[in-house]
Amino acid sequence: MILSVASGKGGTGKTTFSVLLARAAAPALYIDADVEEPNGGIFLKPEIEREEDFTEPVPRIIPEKCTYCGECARACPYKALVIIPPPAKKDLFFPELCHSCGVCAYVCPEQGALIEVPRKKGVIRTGRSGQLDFMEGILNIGEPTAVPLIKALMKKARNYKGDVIVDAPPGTSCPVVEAVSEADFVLLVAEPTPFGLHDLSLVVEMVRELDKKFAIVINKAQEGNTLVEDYARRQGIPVLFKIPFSEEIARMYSKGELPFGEFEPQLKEVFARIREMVE
Amino acid sequence: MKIFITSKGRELDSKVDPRFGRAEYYIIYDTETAEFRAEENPFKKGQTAVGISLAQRVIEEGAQVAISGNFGPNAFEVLKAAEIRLFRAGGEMKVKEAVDAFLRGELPEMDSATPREVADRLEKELK
Amino acid sequence: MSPKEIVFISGKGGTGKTTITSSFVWWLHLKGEKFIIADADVDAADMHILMEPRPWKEEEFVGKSVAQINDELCTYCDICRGLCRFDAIYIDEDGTYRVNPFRCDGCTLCEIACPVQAIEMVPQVVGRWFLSRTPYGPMVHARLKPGAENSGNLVTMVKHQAHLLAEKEEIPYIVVDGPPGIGCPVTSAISGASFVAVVAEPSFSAIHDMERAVETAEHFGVPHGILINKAGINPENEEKIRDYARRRGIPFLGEVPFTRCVVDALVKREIAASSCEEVRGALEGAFGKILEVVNES
Repeated sequence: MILSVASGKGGTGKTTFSVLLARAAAPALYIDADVEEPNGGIFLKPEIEREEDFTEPVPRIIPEKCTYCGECARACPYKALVIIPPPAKKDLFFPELCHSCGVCAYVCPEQGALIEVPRKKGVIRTGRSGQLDFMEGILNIGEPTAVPLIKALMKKARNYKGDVIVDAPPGTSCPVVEAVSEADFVLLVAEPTPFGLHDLSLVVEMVRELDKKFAIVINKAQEGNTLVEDYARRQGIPVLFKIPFSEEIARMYSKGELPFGEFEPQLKEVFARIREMVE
Repeated sequence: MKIFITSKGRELDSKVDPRFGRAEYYIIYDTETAEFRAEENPFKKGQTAVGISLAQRVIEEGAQVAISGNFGPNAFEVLKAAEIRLFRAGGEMKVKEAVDAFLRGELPEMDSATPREVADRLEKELK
Repeated sequence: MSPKEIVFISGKGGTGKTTITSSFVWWLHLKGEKFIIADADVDAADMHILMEPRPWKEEEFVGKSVAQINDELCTYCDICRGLCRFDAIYIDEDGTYRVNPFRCDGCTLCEIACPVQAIEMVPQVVGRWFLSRTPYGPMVHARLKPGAENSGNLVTMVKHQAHLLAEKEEIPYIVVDGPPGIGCPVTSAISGASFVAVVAEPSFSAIHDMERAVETAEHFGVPHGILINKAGINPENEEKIRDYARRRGIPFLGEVPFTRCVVDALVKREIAASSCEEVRGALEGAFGKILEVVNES
């Protein structure tokens, strides 16, 4: 079973919940797919056993063969290539704009004038944290899109024999879609504030569009504040868990710690319930 | 010599558009004949890399000088690689005023010391 | 006279940028100034929760193009599916070739490669934008469809609409709640601004993003300043931010304390500066400095 944890916005406690749940679900695989800001490792403190480069092909002009006709630059939909015609005869490449789509190589009329070479865009690190298998993607700063790296992580999720908990990136755009696209179930973490509710409603729309089974988890839940519960009831969405608002948790969090033991029995039940809902 | 100026309108009386890539129009001014031609910027509503796209247009138009309010880092790099000289027209200057100021040598030229490079240097000093 | 544009950005999400921007709106309104609110944080457009805008005009917004396969022309040769690097082309249950619009990157490779020209790129409506009234003044904002991505183009459009309105109604200021991150939308938000206020939170990742935001403002030669939000949670990092501003010669606008009051105000849909005295006190000085710089230029 693949379970993705998402939230409409950053800073709602998505990682806090993901790692708590992953620990309770062990033996399992935790994947940090929030590749621009992966911080699940801060709390799980894994022993990293392997680190592999994540690369994608990017163009390279071979000056001896290039006629500087500019076909590649005209075809590039992202304007990542610029060809300055003779007499200047220069080529400029903006790697932060390149999406590695391959159009430039496809349209180049000169054999061997434009080749594709791998460019490192990030790393995938794997290791272990107690009973838990750990994996995280780290995207290099300045890369235009997180989607390809997340796609590579999700491929590993599919091939894993066992349960997988995916800590998705925040928001509702393409990277999140990628991180929940393979999921059997999606958990949405929200805070009980008007902003939190608004962002939750956006991500609910997204998972509905993707036709996923999903439920809500409330973080920083306060006595008497039923903002999210009321919404969930109206929408017919189950609320599976609440992490209480607690200064003790905030203090632990700032030191890179979390009260794993405290919630473990409850979270084991939550996990069993999700499995029932999936099957 | 041909000068490329980003503009808010189609006339020499129009104001210089301070945005390069997303300028409304551009004007090609020929200093030998004092004639000019205005074109709508086809990239102004583009999704990405509008600066690079318009910089390529400057090259295709055969201009040797480009005048705007700001040049983004990528547009700057392309124009410099094509050996086009860049000048900044600040404030509320009209196109004609900017051309005249350029011809009198009064417009500040943007050379290799771009703000980005100054920033990088500062960063190194900090470390 | 062109309107002056004041932009709030933060880099990382969740630093309280909207809390600060809405407080600025409240403060400016209290001073009797006229302005337009432009919400360029289209991914999580939270300004409208506090501003309660009532739209009087709305339009569709067209974003990136995605491939579309014409089944009547398609010969099922499979070339496009083999070439697509985004795995966006799939074979439907009924055997026809289709494009997953979430995955399609709009790269045009399939369109170029299709031997029978059965593929064309079709622009997608990615959201809507609105002109609204609020108790504080006019507001320009937008809403994206789920899965759609904010773009520099959308930010530029929101700002452009704000400028058109400001010029028409002779409104002197535009207050922009900028997009998160450090990419193209932020560049668009900064470009052409009179002042950029960078809202920093004293956390490691927020500091990193703050530096990137400052570099972008520097590059465009836009006056800027730094403001610490949630001050008190990490004194060491706060000193790092102040030190950074000092060494780089960037005006330090002030710091807003981290208090429970801000969270409570938010729950009640109230503006932090209006509900929390501590916050108001800290921000008045910062906002005064911003206006000073803006009106000098």
